[in-house]
Amino acid sequence: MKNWQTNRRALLARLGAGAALLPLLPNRRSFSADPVFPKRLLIVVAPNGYPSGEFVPTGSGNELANLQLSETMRPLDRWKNYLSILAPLACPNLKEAEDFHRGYSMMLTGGPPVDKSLRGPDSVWAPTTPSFDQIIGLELATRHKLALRTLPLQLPFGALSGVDSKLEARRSFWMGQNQPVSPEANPYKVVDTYFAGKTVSDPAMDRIRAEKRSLLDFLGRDLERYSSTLGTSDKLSVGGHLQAVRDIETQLAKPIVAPPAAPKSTTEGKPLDYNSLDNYPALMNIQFDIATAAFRSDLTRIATLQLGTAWGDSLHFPWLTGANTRPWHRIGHDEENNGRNEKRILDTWLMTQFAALLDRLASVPEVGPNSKTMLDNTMVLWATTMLTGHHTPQLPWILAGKGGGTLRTGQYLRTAADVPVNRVMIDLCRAMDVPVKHIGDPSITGSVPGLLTT
Amino acid sequence: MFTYISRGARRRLPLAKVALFAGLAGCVGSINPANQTAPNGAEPDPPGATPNPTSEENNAARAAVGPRPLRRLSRTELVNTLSDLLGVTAEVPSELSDVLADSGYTEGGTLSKVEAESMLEWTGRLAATSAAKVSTLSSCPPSPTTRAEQDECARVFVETFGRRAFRRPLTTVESDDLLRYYSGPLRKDLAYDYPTAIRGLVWLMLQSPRFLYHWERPPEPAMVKDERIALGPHEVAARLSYLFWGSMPDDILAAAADRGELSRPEQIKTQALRLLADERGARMLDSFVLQWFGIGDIAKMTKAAKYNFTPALGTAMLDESRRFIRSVFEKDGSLETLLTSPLTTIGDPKLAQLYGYAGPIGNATEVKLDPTQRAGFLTSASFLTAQSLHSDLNPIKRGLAVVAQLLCLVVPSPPNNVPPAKLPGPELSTRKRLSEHAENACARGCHGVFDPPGMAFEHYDGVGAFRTMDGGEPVNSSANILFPSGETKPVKDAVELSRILAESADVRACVAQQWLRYALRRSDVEDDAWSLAAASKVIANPHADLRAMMVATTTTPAFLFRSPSPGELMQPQGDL
Repeated sequence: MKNWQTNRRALLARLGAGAALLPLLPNRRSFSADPVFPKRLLIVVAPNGYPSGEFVPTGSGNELANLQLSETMRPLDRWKNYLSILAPLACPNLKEAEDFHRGYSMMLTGGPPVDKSLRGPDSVWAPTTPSFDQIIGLELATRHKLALRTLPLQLPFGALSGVDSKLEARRSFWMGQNQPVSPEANPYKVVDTYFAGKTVSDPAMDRIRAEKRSLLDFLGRDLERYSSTLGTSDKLSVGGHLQAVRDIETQLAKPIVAPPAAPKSTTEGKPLDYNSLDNYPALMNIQFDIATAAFRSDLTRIATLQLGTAWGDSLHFPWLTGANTRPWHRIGHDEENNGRNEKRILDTWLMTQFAALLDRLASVPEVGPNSKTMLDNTMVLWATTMLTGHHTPQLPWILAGKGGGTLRTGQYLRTAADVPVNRVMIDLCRAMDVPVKHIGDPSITGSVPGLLTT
Repeated sequence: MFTYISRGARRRLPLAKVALFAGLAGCVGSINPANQTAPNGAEPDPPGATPNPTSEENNAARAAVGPRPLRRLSRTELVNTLSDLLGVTAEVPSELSDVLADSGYTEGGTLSKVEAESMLEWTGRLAATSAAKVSTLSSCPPSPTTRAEQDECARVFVETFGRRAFRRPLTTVESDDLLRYYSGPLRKDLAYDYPTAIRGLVWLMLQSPRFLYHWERPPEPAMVKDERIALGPHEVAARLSYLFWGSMPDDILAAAADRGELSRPEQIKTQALRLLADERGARMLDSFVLQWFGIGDIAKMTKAAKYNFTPALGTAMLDESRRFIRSVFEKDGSLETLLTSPLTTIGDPKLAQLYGYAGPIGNATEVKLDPTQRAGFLTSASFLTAQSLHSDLNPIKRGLAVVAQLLCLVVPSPPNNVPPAKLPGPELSTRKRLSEHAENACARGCHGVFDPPGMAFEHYDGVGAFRTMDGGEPVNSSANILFPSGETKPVKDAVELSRILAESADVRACVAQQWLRYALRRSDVEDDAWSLAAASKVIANPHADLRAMMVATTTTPAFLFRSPSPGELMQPQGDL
């Protein structure tokens, strides 16, 4: 069996899988001396917009300590010192989008869409370049021999219908064109796979494991052969499949070591129906627990969580807005319902979860030269896909955590309105010790002054 | 020795870009194939004209064709195929989700790690439960005893099971490879006995791209002639069986492909008619019509409390629609019956109540609904429920469905800075809310096209119940409908709208276009124009059976050829 861990880049290059990643990969260079604890990145994707009036803090200056957070952002008050709220950013790759729902798949890729004229009238935009988490994840997994490039998670999306059932309306993370990274909705599967593995040798299990490895090895070579005559676009799709097969193979090849303990929320009580919207709040808690556990055990250094689909037309919050519940999309457009501002209720709830996530990361001790807790070594990007109204070409993003001392926090960063989001992603790559020149668009380089500490 | 096709070898503009709707340039694109000039300067015969066979054959031989993208088997296709292949009732894991493709129809999604992991575990279970059964597929004794006997049986198994699983005969390289996997990792390394090793082969083959993807041709590079690639007999067989049955070819079709008997139009037509006449063909017709009208799993929809909508009611609506579609094709299969018949069967008392029908009901009892209120599919509870929002009926959504699904017009997303229409309130009728919204200059262009057909449905609430009052006023469902031909026709309600649509040549052309998208598993492109015109010609009159058009599509160049894909490895071009 080949060593796919080291061979991965050559393989990717040959198959077009993640081909767009390759020119960006830098020489190994550390941002600073290796910290005792690794730096991690957690990306949360929230659809359906934040109202700009609620997003921008009031007061003068950049210091959050002297600024006032809006009513819906107030749950984050206690974490002001750990926040870097970015003035709404420009997103050049989405500027042609008729509305921002249609750009959902491309927000984190920075590059151009697949030529829409090839795709039919009612298509959602699809990216041609990888999302930046994959660029960092591939490099870190190779460099540090991690089991997973990234851990992509999702919450229940509801019974999808219409345009929300398009692939591009459900995927924010991509290895490259035609290569979406599907998020895992089932937290129990993640727990079974990574946190509850058998440590005692079981001959029957070992045999199945050995068969799986042989099978995947054969299947991988078969996929390579199969795709050899295909056109570029189909080859990319099969390349994504192949990469998945190799990833599973790599995982199985890892020696079985004592797995880290599964998070309590996943082991106590009866398993929840992970497709049910009724369990949305509990599942959010569980998925954040899983991300934290994955960071703790260095399974991966990047985790992602999608809170909904591009429109969220099937996402209801009955536990929050009562029996006469409306979908997220509708709440975004018409905030008031029966005399209550449901948009505010929902946003306040989301920011409360955000604050609870920071509490959780801060509850994991990681005492080192730059850190006391995991939050000091982590960066959280809470990436909302649009400002309310879906036409304003600006993205409201919030960063939190210290990233091993690399992220400057306690600030509202008053960037100019034309600062492209690509530069934020470039900076985050650098902060994760994977310096790149550009993300998606070679014409956009440079960094956002004041975002990082150096 | 092989050549790669470079990018942009052929222009592939969606048809929508070709012609703009007269008077509304910039808002709505028309996709009427009757307006198309066929490629290479060949004019397709106008709908209604008697085709000249000689010129038609010449034109078909020259007609340009579109691409054929790789597709994963959809969930339904997986269930059907595994049932035919293994005799199992398979439950597809939720991770292997389908997607709404750009064609507007459901396709299997791509595979990333989550799906591949799920596939690995699932096919393992399938192989284990069906191993005993499949080992009898080869002509070998159930438990061959000697090693030589076993090896020979494994060889036969790979060829016979492989032929069915991969939907074409295996190449020597492919079968040798599988046998190496059998004798090496399975028999030698893992020391599996014969049945366990066969189980291991099944596990592997169910994950093979040859099973999982629609691309049923040997791995050799394709041959291009006149910028087209002819599909081989096994590709045509699979295309036919998945189109009409959503499953692998049966023995008859497979044998026809093996004998090379799927090359002439009449041979293909014979098979298409046979498949369509089968029970599985009838199920596929349900699925096509429901998707065409944009009706998903309405049982899972969430509706405002005022509608008393339950999953059971949603299921009853879907069941009614399936039976209705079936009855249309048991009658004459015409667009007219589909869009105007007030006859249906109601299986659920709550649904009967919604329809205001008080007589005896039952799944097998055909009833006549009030013909002044109900006429065909557009006035069915399914359509009206699916094309409404959560808490109100939505003329825009309904109008867009008519315009996009039945007239094949393309409407862009709303432009910048149009404030949303006012919310429904007790004092404000839907008509008032929307006319205010459409007064907005920038909204007027598009809303002028899709609001009117939506307004014709004003008599039906968010789950399709008939109503006479709205916002304290009597319902006004009159509207002026603008057709792609530029003609405007006044209608007084949805019943009249349905009748006009049923008679419209624009709608018939659009049905053919919808069917082509469904059949080709992609959006239509400019290069499909000739095939589309040829198929829609068959239903030139309003009483024509839609199945004639469905079958005619299978002998068009669009169905039997594909264009080379950019980057594809090809055999060198030349006089072959």
